[in-house]
Amino acid sequence: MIALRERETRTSGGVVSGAALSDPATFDAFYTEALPVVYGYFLRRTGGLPALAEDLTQETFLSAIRQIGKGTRVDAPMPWLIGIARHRLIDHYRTTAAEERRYRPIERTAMELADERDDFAAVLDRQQAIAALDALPASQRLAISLRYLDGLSVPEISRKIDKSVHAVESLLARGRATFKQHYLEHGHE
Amino acid sequence: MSERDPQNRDRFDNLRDLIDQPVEPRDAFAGELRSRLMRELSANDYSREEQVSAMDATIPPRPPLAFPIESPRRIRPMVILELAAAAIIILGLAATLGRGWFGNDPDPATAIPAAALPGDDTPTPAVDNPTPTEVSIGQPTVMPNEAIPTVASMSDPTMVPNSMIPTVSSEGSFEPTGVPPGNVSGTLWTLPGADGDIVDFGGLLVDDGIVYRLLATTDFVGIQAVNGNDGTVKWQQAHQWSGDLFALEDNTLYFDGGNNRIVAVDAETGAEQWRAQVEGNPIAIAEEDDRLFVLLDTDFVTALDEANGTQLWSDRSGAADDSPDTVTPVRGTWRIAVAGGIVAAISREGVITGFDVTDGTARWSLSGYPNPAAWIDDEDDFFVVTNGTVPGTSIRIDPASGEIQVGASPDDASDSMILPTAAADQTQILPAIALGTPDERTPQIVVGVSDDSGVYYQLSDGTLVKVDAGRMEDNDHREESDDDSDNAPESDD
Repeated sequence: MIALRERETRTSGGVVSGAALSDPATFDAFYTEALPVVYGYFLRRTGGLPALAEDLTQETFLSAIRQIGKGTRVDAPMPWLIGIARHRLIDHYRTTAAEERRYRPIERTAMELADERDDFAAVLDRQQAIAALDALPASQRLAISLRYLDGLSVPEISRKIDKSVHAVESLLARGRATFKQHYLEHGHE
Repeated sequence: MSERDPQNRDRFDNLRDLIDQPVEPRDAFAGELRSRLMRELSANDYSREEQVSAMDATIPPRPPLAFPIESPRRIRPMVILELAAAAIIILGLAATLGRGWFGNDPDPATAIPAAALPGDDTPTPAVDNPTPTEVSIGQPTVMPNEAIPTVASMSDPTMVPNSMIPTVSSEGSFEPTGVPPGNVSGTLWTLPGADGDIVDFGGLLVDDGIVYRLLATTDFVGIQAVNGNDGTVKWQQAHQWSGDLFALEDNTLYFDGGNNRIVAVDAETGAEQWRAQVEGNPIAIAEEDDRLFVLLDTDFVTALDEANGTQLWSDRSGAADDSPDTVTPVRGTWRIAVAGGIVAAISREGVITGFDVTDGTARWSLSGYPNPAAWIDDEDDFFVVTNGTVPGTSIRIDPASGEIQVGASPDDASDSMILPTAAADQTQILPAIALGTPDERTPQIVVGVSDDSGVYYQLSDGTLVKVDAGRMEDNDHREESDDDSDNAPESDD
């Protein structure tokens, strides 16, 4: 299976216009290739919730089609579409963060942060890693996703999710610790 | 903290290649979405004569558009511009007609009309950063002549040519010309709300004889400072605000500026001093040693430099494994308190956490306190957590250790209002007042505060009423009650 980043690169060439996409064949080809990329993007960043991933995928494509209809020039369609998806993800987080909050006791959090220096599997198991990412609280998962999946810098994340750099670093530290704890606890199940 | 953690560099950097892969969705979803997208394309009025191959396509020279964030809660840029243009035109017409929006506003340009709907935290786009009136420190804002209130004297009957002019009732000489709702005895003065229809109240404070209220009407959003002795408006400044936080510390007003901001305003002039971005909406605040401790609705506790709002530290109140199911707390009753070098706050899930004031290190936490109406106070160097729904129930906590000491008994206030006062983190029991036979037109008391000169009530119709508590013969007056049981001291352990 081609990794997401490769797909972004391979399909980034050419100029896609609204006229071209209005052609059923052209649109069908673009949609067929882009749909699993976008859906997979959301599935990994929303805790593995298919229904939510579908909703956000639909919103992303509708937004993209409306942009095309307005005459937006698209030089790299897949990265452009992922950019729209990222906006939808952050918007979703902003509107639902209050309902998805989880907490950790202070003592356990302190232990987790200290254990970051311990040995951690050099090569992660994919399924365990997916499960660990899905288990993160929404805010930590968003920070981890934007940092390590989307490749954004901490200042970039800070600007996008409207939090201080310190707050983002705190989320990343907690996210890594929580990820590691879940990964280790369920690693042999 | 570095941007890249060398301890986890390899492992987390591989995460993308490991798990970030395309996933095929359900066939039914894929088909339905395809059909919908084709309908959207067909609905776009795009000429088929312009169809070209994908590689050779050219598009009419239009500038690229930024991605609009299409949220039903946001206003599109063109609508924003149209609203701003309409507001400017209306302001210009009003000024031309020689009638400002606000009779007592010293500078109509700052009295920016805005509509803030209840519960709507979206800043009005046209007034994102209103410029406060420039005033020198120590000089109160000068009111236009037509707004100078008329004080009733022994020889001049009180005239009320302007609805903004408060009435003053001198003792025993004149009947109040502005009859308070329900003919409340002991009324000293009444002040209607700002122009426009009342939309929301943010809070009411009194300190050093000045009453501050956070208002939102269809014409004004901001803070109004009222002289407590005669009900005249000292100053009125437009400020975007949100939520319930409204506090006064060391002659500075603090409130929720919306969009995760806390704003500090000079209480003497209404001018903004600073605003700070925080990690949630501020809901409670405490001050000690030139530091502000702000409780956010994300359960973060943030320490800020009182002088400029610079963040000193931030941490979150946690929860234990055995925390109860999430309850929906009553908004505005969360509190934060400082005692013995510890700042303590109650999270929305009923976990009390004590943080070291110097660096935010969490020292202790107590879970299993699920009462959504609880609040925490500092009293005699202890924390007192009060159960707001069961009068007489509270616990006392040692700030250093988090040890619970049970036994405090606050007064039973089932027939009175218990309200926080302005400067101190102490509750006051205020007399309840009758506002006449209740019907749908009868204004209700929204909030009340008091000082040595009387009690101030904010009513739901925007009216601010001052009542001489000593003359409230028809009301339960607890401040001077002879009933010893009402003033029974709290039992000590």
